Amino acid sequence: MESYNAELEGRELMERARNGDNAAFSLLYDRHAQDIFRYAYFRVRNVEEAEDIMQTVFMKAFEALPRFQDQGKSPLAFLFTIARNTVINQWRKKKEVPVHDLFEVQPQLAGVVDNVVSAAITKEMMQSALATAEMLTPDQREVIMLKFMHELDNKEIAVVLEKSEEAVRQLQSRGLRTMRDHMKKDYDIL
Amino acid sequence: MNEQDFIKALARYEAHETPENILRDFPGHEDELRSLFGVAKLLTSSRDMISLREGSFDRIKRNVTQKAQLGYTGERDRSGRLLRNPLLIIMNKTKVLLPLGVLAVLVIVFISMKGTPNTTEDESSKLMQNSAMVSDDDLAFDANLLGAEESNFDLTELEAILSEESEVNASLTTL
Repeated sequence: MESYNAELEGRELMERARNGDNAAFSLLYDRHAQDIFRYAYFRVRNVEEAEDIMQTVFMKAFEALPRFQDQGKSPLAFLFTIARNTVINQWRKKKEVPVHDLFEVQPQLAGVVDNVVSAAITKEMMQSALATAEMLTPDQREVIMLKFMHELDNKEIAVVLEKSEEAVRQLQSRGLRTMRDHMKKDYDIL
Repeated sequence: MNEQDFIKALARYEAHETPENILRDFPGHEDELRSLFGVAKLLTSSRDMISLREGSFDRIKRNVTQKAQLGYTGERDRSGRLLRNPLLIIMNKTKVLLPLGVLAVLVIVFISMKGTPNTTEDESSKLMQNSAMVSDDDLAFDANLLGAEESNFDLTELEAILSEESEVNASLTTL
């Protein structure tokens, strides 16, 4: 089994995985498992369900590897597209519409805090930000989450959501403004 | 602040330009921008609050890896998709054989059609000639074909019946 350094480019990893290199696929898992879990968790609000979705996503990704080359997506956008479709299919199967309750974050790791509003950023504010995101339209919320929590760029988000980059920019701008308006009521510092 | 300006400012923020630098280029909107960047920062920071449970990462990795190893030995269709359903696997295999089978059937049909005599004029006259050459012997009644032998039909019995019939006829004439 070949070992890889962390800098190995995502596309190259995908290409190697596509050619049957299990070590490359394993490294893709190491890199993106947490991202996919977080995405699933924000959509289904259930840890066990989110873990199941994450497993399904990687299994589907493995099966779809041969088709990856033609899609021209980054590995992360490729995985998020599968994750999004998996979540939607799950909702369809259960015939459930997600209920957006006040968000409850499971604090397992402490957030890293630095400049901008550094001193004011507390766990409570972070939870409040996540709860406020629930007030957005589904499209705005998804763009905001993919952008700031998963660090996808506009081009990647456009691919995942099958929208234009301009539409993504507008959804992001309006979503952030709505969040800021809601949060400003509770936090003067904003 | 209009939307286009905000989008521009946000793009610079995402490109990791310092907030102070950005704010300087949008005088009069510092507070608004600062708070918007603040919300973005809150979201980015909160991402680490959600994480897989201990043990889940490795457990799922084992499942996925096991699947991956099995997958490469599994049957795949032309696009490379892994096939799980046995029926699909058979269909996938027969897909290669099917065109060959159809070709073979076409060849057999073609050969058998070539072997069937066409009734052209020449062939018809030949048939006529052949039929003229059929001898009387060939046309002779073959009692065996009717199974007469097997029925053991008694001729004397027939003669008796006929004579009896002629007697009846004679008596009727007399009357």
